[in-house]
Amino acid sequence: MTAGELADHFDVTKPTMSAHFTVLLSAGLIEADKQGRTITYRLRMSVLEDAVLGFADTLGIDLKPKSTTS
Amino acid sequence: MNAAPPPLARAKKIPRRDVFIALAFLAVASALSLFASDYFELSQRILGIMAGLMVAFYANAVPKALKPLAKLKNPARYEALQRFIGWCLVLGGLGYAIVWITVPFAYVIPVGIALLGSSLALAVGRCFWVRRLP
Repeated sequence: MTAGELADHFDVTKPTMSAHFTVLLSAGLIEADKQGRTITYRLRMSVLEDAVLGFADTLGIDLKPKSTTS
Repeated sequence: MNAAPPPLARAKKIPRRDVFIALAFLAVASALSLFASDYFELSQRILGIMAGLMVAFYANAVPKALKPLAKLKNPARYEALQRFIGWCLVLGGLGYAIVWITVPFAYVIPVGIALLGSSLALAVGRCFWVRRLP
């Protein structure tokens, strides 16, 4: 999906999304392809990561970290 | 006088991790042949399990090796194929390791080769099938 399409799914600004993309890119979890002015992001998941995600989905386990708010 | 040979193309750097894995495998094989020569079956089983786990380890990274989009006609199809190949080879490698743990020694080699060979054949067959798609 392109950066714009991804940003439309979340209630955050595009610069914030861009910062998140940078973190995910440096972690090697996504790949970016720039074509003209459009950047397309793709998921880079190993078989093990795919399996863990699928397993968690099947069992209904939420893998997102709980946000700590004071 | 001969002309100087063209400079070698810059070789891709081999990760240290891969060198370490190869050396560890060779070290274990050498140690087993030196110190466990009386335990042939056990040595073979250990090496078979290591080989299967190595296949699974390297196949795990196959879906992560993405080609640039500009080189792909159908990125979704290509990435689904990468995922399929990765899964086939990981399961084949793990199955091969499990065979070396569980199957009686007389049958372990044909069963292991049949399993790993099937997973490889499945992956290659899928590649040819995808190539025929419009």
